[in-house]
Amino acid sequence: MNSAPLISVKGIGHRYDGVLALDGVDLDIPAGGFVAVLGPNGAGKSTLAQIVAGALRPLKGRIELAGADVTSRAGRQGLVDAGVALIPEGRRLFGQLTVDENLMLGAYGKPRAEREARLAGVYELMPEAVRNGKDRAAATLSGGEQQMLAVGRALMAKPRAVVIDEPSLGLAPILIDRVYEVLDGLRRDGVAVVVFEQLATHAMKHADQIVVIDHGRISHRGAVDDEATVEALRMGYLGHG
Amino acid sequence: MHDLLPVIAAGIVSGSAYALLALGIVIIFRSTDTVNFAIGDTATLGVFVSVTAMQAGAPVAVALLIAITFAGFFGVATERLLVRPLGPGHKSLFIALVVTIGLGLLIHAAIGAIWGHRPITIAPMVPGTVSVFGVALTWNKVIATAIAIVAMVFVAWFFRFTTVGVAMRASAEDHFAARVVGINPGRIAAFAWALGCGLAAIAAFFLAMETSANANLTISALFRAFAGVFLGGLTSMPGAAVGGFAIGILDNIAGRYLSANYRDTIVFAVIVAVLFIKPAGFLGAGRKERV
Repeated sequence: MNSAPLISVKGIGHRYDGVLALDGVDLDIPAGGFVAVLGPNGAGKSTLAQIVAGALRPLKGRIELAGADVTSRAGRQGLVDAGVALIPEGRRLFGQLTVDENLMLGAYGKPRAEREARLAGVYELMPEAVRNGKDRAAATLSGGEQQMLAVGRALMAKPRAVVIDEPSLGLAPILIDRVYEVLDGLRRDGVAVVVFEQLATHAMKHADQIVVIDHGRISHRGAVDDEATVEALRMGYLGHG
Repeated sequence: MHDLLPVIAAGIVSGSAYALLALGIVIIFRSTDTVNFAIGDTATLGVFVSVTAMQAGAPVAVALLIAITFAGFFGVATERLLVRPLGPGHKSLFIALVVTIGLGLLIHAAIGAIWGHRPITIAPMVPGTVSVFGVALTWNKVIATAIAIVAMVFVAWFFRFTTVGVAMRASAEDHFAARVVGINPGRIAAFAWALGCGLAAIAAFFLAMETSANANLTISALFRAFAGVFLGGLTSMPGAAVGGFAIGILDNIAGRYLSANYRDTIVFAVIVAVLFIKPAGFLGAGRKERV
């Protein structure tokens, strides 16, 4: 694993209507690494996910991509054209659009021939129902199929990093395993993966770095098998004890 | 009821203008959540610019293109300079509504100040009448309806098969998700306002050819187009087109068989009844909260 950060957010602070969401958060995502940011509901994970992907401009702090300051680009179309794809919480697929249209939009702005070439490769990763339902409205897919489609849409951008918020939300354990298998495959191909999860179990099986976030602050960062990580998670989820 | 066919034919002809205006309203609303009350006056302004071009010797077809282009650019400028700075959010949506009403009044006054208040007659593209299924129609009406239908088919093709069209549908469905995949919301808004106002200009141009170019050109048509929009569903493009045609036909049937004096009352009574049963319109979706 290359230790040089691909994405680096520094001193991030953010508020919604005066309510503090993030306070002084620093996070490095190594190129080709698999980082899991874990924390309870309301810890600030989704806000941080959007900031890491450049979809939200923080009120304080800076975002760097491969060493370059890209903070001013954040909050518009994200950093997808620079190779950072975001899969937001709840997938945010275009439910009325077809499977094919959703995937093609993942590579929006690229020449049609290039998009069609990528499409074939992405379909290979998709479950049968998605592969055989290219003209189906995305809203008619099951939760697991929709999550895979959301991953596929992100892959259409041919990203260097995939930021995924709550990938296991509302999915059966077997489907969560399938999603994480695909994320593992991405990491093997050199794509950095950042998952923001409330459910720690699956993320801890696959990530090589765990970051615990609580009340808008990073309370711990360390290796998966680190005892301090387990303790930090216990504190984060259960408070104390 | 033996003359029902001519009445329906007349309804389709007038409905084609309402349908184009309604489609323009819905395209703009879906992309920017703004009900553009200035769309009719923007289109009328485009017509007056094209009238000036015709007076300078431009052929009618070129004048039509001028009206479409001018109204399209004016729409883009309206969005960029007056609507976008208001920012997103429900409060700004209400302000945008008031701003477009104000802009419409301003355009209306400007037209009177620049071109005067006397109606200007426009020569028809092709003079004379033609019999369609036994119904005598002016060539102007036939051409207007044909162009309106071609424009609607083009819009359907554009939204179904082009990358920008699909991106506009995506952006209408979920602004945030659209940004996440790299769709530029400003560009989408510009396309939508250009297309919406351009379609309205086609309707206004043929209305002017049928009657005359005057500052009140689109007031009555816009009234009916809004009725069509609510009948078909504020979020549905096919609904807007169907709603516009339905209003045209209903209007003519009410005028012919019930009472010419109460045609507006009858049309709107039917719409109220329909909306009572189906509040989102025939083809509209219920409003979804965007997060």
